[in-house]
Amino acid sequence: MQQLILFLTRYRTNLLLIGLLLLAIIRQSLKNPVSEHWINSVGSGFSATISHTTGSWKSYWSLEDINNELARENAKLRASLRSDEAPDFAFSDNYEYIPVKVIDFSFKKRNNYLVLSGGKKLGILPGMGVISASGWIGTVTESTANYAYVLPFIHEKGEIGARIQGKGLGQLSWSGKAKIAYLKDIEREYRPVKGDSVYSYTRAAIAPPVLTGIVTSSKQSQEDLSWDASVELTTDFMNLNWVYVCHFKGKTELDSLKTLME
Amino acid sequence: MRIGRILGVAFLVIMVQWLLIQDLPLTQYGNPYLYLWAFFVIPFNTPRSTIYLIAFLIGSTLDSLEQSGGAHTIASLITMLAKPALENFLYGFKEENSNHTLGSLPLANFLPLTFLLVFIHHSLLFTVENSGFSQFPALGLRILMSTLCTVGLLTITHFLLSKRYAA
Repeated sequence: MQQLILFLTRYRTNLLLIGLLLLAIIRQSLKNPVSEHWINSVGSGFSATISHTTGSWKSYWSLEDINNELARENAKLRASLRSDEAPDFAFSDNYEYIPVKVIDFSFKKRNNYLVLSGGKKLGILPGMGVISASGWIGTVTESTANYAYVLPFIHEKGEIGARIQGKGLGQLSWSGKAKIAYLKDIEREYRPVKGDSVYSYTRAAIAPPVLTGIVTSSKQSQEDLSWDASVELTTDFMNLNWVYVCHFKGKTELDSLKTLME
Repeated sequence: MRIGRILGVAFLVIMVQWLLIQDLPLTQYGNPYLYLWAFFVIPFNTPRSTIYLIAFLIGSTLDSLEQSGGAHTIASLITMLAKPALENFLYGFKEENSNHTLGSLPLANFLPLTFLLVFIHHSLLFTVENSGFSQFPALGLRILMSTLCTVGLLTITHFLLSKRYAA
């Protein structure tokens, strides 16, 4: 016992360092959208509150950008009323769109995040898709009464299914570089060409298909002859102000059907 | 009193970091981390255990604000662990009895030490955040660009705050 006390006394500084490092490593290793939310709930709440409080003066400086984004969106809505350039599968009246403000986000990391200024009180729940006027954003992973945490496309785990009209499905993932993504596994019969529009393709309960990027180049895999394409994202993740959370109107019905089937 | 001053400086730089610098689109490959200045006002004769606790506190605060797990904490702790060895390696001294700080060093001594400390910190931070060395070119570029930005910002802070350059 005395030896132990002597040991602890002698190496207390190193032991303290090891202990603190272990705490940090455990916290890091638990870092995934769910446990991260649990562990960081205090920190998230604090930072969200600060972000919200300081949001007003930040908003003032970005009024011009917001105005531009609203103008773009307005123009897009007007255009969609007259002409129908988007493919049929991208239209659906089965969704309600909940507009929310982005109060915090990152875009420079490998694993980025978004915090929205709306939560369960607005009907925002985990699993809902998030889009903006310019394209796909990500999926809600956690929500509190007033805030929601989003796993964006620019995250290691943010990859989604994607579709080019008339050319089948593929897997779209972020390249790690700003605005560039890779579309993989397009069948060999359908070569993606420069200018092809890439639409998100998730489960119906998440979000409808939305424009996500434009093909810039493609190459064929030597192994299975499938096509891989480089895609320029339509969403500028460096400038996010307002986004829309997609609420699938038939979710309750779909859930009860699944329960019946089980 | 001394600890209070260090924590006060830490609070200020973290707030500046969080409210001003974090959103600056200086470069898409990383971010300058001004909060490291808090480590530059810790006197050389501060006990190691106190330094580790301060590093843990500052790192954890940044992790909570940035949603980055424990990356900042790990990077801060290892950087503080390496600091005495670096000082010894570069200048052959261990100023453990001096009341001076890194921030009060002359520029010729300040720059190499700062560069190495920031480089170690950013290498650890971005590697942990990246969960390894995948996409190494992008990771390396991010470490380098951020290191240069941070060293630039810390040098400006050194010029502005150090009594050495006071008129």
